[in-house]
Amino acid sequence: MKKLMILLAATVVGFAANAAAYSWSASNGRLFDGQGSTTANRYAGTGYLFNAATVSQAEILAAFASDSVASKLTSTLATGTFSAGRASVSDEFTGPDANFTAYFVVFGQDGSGNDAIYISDTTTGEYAAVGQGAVEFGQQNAYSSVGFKDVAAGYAGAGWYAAVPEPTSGLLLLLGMAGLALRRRRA
Amino acid sequence: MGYAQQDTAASGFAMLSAQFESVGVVDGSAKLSDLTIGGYDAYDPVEDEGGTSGSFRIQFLTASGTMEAQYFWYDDDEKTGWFDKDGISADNVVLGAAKGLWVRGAGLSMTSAGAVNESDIVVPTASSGFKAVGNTFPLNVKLSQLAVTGYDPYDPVEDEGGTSGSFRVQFLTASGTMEAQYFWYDDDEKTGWFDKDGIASGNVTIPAGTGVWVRGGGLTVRIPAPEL
Repeated sequence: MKKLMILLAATVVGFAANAAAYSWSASNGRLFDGQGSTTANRYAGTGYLFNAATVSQAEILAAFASDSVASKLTSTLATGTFSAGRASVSDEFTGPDANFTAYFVVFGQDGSGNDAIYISDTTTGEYAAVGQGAVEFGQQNAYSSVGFKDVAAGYAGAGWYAAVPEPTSGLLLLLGMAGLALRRRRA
Repeated sequence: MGYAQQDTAASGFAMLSAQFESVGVVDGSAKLSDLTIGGYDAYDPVEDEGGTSGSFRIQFLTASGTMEAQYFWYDDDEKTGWFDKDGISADNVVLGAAKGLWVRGAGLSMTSAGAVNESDIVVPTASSGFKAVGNTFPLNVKLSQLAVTGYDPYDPVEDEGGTSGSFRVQFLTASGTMEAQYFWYDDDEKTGWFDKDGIASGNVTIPAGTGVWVRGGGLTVRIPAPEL
């Protein structure tokens, strides 16, 4: 019972320390590949809002490269869906009781069907003691020098990063077995 | 008939209000469609760029300061006007007389259009909690012009009645914290508006088209119509 009470108290403290309501949007965040604004050049995928103090952009990029993105998604503040390059609007979430720095990531596919990631520049999540705070990414495309932009060299110089080709699981298993066989022969 | 424009800060929130009533009404109310937003690059259908989608938003507040409803301004390739978070048109949402609007404008401007309300506005308040009250007239109003009523007048013989600070107005910062606070007194010591140090504050101004965060204690406040 005591443990339950402590857990309950910890939960209440957690909520109290992290109880501000926000709406967020990348409402006009049309993500293009820089080759024109046709629908074919727009990207689709799922967008995630991250608190930069919790997970850095570099960590997200590294996770993408190592195919371990799922481990980072547990710390997202909010998610949204990009359809033909346009984000959903004004989803709501609970966040810090103070201004914070946030950025926006889209995991999706490029025009060729390759896995791709888009990482935005950071922006301020504006806390409001009255009403609902806001986190907002304005109208930018991938080639814009403002807002959405590179954090490292990437696809077409834009904010998109094609996945690094990785050995398949079967190939990895084969290499492992070959290593074991070699070791046994030497022994 | 007239219109007036207010610029918003580059970041954060502001307590604003419509400055005119809708044409054809006489109750001081307006609609969201009486408010238009500017200050951004117009949408260019050729380049498929410009316009704005939801960066200007208006929130209605509850008595505890949480958001009750929120409406977004759109002007892009898909739609123009006011919409709620589900994309439903909100142009016909009514803003009651003296409605304070908690606005996030991101460096844009809000233009209010309509007819000048020529009647005083009486705003009742709840016994607990706050209310967003706007100066919905196109002229500034001083605190000394606001009449607070709804309590028993002070009786010097019985030494009872009156009110001492239960009605207060707060000016909010861009993050919603209190910037300044003024109290209404009508007791055996003083009558009028005072700050927390007891300094007379009747000359403090609520600019046209802005609002204050009011704790009313069940009293009412009358905002006088401008003398035209």
